[in-house]
Amino acid sequence: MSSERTIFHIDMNAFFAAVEQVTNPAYRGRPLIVGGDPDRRGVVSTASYEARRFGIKAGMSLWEARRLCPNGIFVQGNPARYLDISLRLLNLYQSFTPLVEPFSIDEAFLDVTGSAHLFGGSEAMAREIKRRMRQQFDLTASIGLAPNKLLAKMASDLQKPDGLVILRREDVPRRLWTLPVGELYGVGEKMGRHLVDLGLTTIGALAQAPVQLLRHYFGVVGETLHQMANGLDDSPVDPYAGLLVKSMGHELTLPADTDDREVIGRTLLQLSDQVGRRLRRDGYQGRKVTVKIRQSDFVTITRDQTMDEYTDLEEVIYETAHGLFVKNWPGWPKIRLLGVSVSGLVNARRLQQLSFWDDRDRLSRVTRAVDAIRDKYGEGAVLKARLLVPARLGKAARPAP
Amino acid sequence: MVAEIAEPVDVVAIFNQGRLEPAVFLWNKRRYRVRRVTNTWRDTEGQYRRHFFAVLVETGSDLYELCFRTRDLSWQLLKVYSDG
Repeated sequence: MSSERTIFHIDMNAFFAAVEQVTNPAYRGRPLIVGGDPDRRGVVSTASYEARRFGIKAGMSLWEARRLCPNGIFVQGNPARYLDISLRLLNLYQSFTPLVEPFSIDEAFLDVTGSAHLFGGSEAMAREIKRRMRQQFDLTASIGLAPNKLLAKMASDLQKPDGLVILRREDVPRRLWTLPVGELYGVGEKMGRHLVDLGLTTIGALAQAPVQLLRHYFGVVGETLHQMANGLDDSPVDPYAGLLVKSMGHELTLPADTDDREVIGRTLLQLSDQVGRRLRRDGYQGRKVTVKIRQSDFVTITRDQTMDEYTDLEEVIYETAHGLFVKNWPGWPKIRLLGVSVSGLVNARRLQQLSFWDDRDRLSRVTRAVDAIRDKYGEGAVLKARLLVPARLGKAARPAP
Repeated sequence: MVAEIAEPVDVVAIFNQGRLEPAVFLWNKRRYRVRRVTNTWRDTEGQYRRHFFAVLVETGSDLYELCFRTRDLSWQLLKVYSDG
């Protein structure tokens, strides 16, 4: 029996847009842009394949998308709808193998090494997944089938939409080495530029570069890059990978650039509230607070502060984030986006056990009482008075979940 | 075009094999017979579940978004998507 693994990478095609087109048949076959109201700020979250023909891409401003495709249909995303369908898709995958690693809301890795034979082999299994996906959800995906996660991920990118690509180790020189180095999964824009500057313009050039050279320029990462370019990756499909949380954060593009300190403060409080709520719900506390400030000129400032104690309280997160903001923003240019995150996380239960003698203060008890009310009646059941702003601002300043 | 409605509606629903589907709803003194449920999804409102249904009705091509709240076993018509 071969010791080689069989890994699938399943990538839903234009997921949010496809879900909208399934939900509303009037959108089918038409350029559809999911991302929000084009008369307001924001970016394209997903564009249907019909919209992509106009040059619309994820991350582009809605204003630009409207310019490229004036007759496109612009819809505001519905995160609850996408999340629910994503979870049901994971259930579908789990009927083929227990080794399913959610990679994002619309991507997953499956290790089918031990179960593919039950479905007539890995290719037949991939086709069956696609068939059931179409039958149950009316959606399509591109599936990459390979001996490891890296190649499976690269394979699913080779044929879109509705693809099924088998990529073996021996196919790597022929199918991957001619691609630009920036196409190698894991090579970001900055790293890509650095590699090109070294003359390593293709994946093949990176694969054949001396490891010592790569180690010299990139340290340990250099060796990993070399292995990746050669199609080597032994990372396991880990169903629990998503549970290992390193940080939690939220960010928000403001409805209009602003230098109004009240609006900025309120937004930081709202973001801190969301982060604190998530920390408590998932049982974490953190020590490092990071604030992200993107100015109207798109210059982005990220600053962090490590606190003396771990916390999951939004008041503490807010005070730290606000302090960082005040210290690092000179008052201009105006602010376009704000983000708050907490890292250096530890299991809150363990922390409590270590400091069980430390009587929790009143704020902590009040916060937990508020959590209990929100858990039962929903997030809007209790709000901080400062966040009760006129309806227009309230709607505008509501961060996406 | 999307019209935000958020009004309570009376619904005749079918519970079948663990699934819930609206069959008819009454809104503005008119009866709408569901022709097709195009999509369903769920979320939570505190500890309660909300079940959403996107439906086409027998007359016209508008899409209606209905919500069943387990908190008080009530139905709402949330939105109407007009063609175009």
